Amino acid sequence: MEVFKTPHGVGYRVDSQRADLTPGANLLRLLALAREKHGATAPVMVLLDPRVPIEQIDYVDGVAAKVPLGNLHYFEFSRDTQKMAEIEFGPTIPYSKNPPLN
Amino acid sequence: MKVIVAAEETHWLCVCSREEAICEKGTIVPWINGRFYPNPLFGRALERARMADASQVWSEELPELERQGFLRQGPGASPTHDLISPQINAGHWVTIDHRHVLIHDAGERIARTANKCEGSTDWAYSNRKGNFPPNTDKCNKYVYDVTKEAGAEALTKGSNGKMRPPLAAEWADPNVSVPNWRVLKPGEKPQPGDVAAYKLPGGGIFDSGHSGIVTFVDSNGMVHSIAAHADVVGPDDKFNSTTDRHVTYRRFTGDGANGDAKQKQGLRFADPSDGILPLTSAQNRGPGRTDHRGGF
Repeated sequence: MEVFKTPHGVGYRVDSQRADLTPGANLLRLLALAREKHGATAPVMVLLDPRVPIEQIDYVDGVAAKVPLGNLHYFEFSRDTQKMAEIEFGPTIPYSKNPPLN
Repeated sequence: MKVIVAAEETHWLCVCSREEAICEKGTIVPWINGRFYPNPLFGRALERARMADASQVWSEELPELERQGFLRQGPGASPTHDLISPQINAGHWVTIDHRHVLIHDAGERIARTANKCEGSTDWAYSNRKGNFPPNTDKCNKYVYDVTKEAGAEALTKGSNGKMRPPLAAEWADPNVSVPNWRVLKPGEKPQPGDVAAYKLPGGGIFDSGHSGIVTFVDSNGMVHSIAAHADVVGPDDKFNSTTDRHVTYRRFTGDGANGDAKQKQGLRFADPSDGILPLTSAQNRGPGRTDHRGGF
């Protein structure tokens, strides 16, 4: 799955198909089709354009939970450098200037 | 006011005086073998089973019976299993002014109804469910159907002025009014039976958000829920707020429409169909030991 910047906001592509707001091709539906095709436990690679807001991660996570798809891996990718790195999150904790560090 | 706390979740035996066994409208509730049964059919059947099964240690408390596998289904299970199991977790009985009152825990009832649907494909994307056509997401329809079946119907006013089930995004929006359902305050801990929802901005009307029913909250504060997914109703642990996804919880406050104070408190008088009157473990040890006085 790919999350990318568009002139009007953010776009999504799942298994090469562009998501829109129609019932048959909205992001939820495309992820549901991917689940049918690859299985509920198959790893889902979410490639994030670095220009999209970081809140898109929670958005994709929320839509995937609705499908449900649980095995999501987020990567920031760069077309320029042709490199990418996985983004991993710890548990949600209260805001603090001195958060616990592992 | 004299109140006898007459129930804990896992006990059903009743010990109270015959004079107190009078329900609303003056109906005398039957006593069978010294035990009070709002449902006389159930009571007679259970007492018959007790008499026939003298080898069972009936004086033991329910946890002991459960430990012994008495409530086990299948081969070897007690013939009374089917009679007993529907009585568990029906609510909490108290006696107020000589009347037996069942205090329903609405949240537990909603959560129980929600769990009952686990594995169902009725709300699947491709299925028709009520006035929801095929090829539509139905997580909010599931929440609506559960709350309705549990007697806590949730409706909101649509743009045309008519009441309809809330969309997931409306559940998630604290500014949207859902009569008889209040939004939990920040920091307020969710409970089983609460509705949980978050918005999915940008998804359009087909994907406005996600909603489900809280089933339990673990010791770490993690909220566990159940929701209708694309193909099946199942567990959903994503109803926990994250940095960028705020989850709104709402709790049923009772049907305020009729202004009945008892219903607002989740009270109603004994119904013969509710079965045997439960009691506390202390009452189980003998009559008159759990006569707690005071209001509630």
